[in-house]
Amino acid sequence: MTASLNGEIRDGRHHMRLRVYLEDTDAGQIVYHASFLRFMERGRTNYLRLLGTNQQELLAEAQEDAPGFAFVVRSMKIDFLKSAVLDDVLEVVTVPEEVKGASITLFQECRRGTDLLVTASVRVALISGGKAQRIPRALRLAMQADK
Amino acid sequence: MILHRPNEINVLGLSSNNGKSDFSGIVYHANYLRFMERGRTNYLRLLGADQRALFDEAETEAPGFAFVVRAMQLEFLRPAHMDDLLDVVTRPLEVRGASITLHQEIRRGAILLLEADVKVAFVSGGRARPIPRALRVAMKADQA
Repeated sequence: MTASLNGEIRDGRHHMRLRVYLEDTDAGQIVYHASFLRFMERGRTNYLRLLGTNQQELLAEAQEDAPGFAFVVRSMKIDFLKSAVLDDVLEVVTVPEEVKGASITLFQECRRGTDLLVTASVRVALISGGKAQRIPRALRLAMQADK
Repeated sequence: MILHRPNEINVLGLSSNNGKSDFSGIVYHANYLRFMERGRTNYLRLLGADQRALFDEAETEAPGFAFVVRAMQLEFLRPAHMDDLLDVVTRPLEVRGASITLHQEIRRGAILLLEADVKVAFVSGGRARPIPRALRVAMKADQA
């Protein structure tokens, strides 16, 4: 149950399924473009959650290195290729593209079956105490292992 | 006031009761896309208001038309907070036959918070169409 909620990591890629509800759509029952950003954030969050549960000590160590840490989005490049509609079941795929000292670039896709709907390159930075910080080594290693 | 500053956005109205800012009082990143869409919509509205005939002509050439976002490049430079009063600045960057690229900025006074290039395509009857000439001409007139 929890596994399906969080999605899963297969071959270094995080996969998460979700259904499109009315609240995600605009007047034409087509998914509103900003909703894909929320879907992709869910993918990133669950990817981190799974990295944390796969390696229990990881998040604890990150917490120690950088108390109250959070990831913030610095830049995104998004291509909207096809639209999604109400009731669609989508899959969000997340894979680390570049892991650097202070930022991580993730590549994300939203798919419906074999149809590729949205692709995005998302650069996130780690902040703690309101300032950009180096990403704790344990987190970097966990993501690099997925590359 | 509305006509002079159509893109002024009061984040309090958007964030306090609607879950648009998270617990930290910082605006959630996806909400900037809503702000920018308002900027684009109002920009089009003003183009239409400036030239009454424009939308009638577009409607005749392409009934039930709409713009859809094809691609975006976003740089999140600084966060906006609850209570901030933001300006959304929209200008056409490239006007082509079937798509328009707009440059958008979100500012708090002199401080630039977000910069974006947004490519929109013109859709009518569910398919991509050439952009009606009147709309293209109106936007080209605004190009720097």
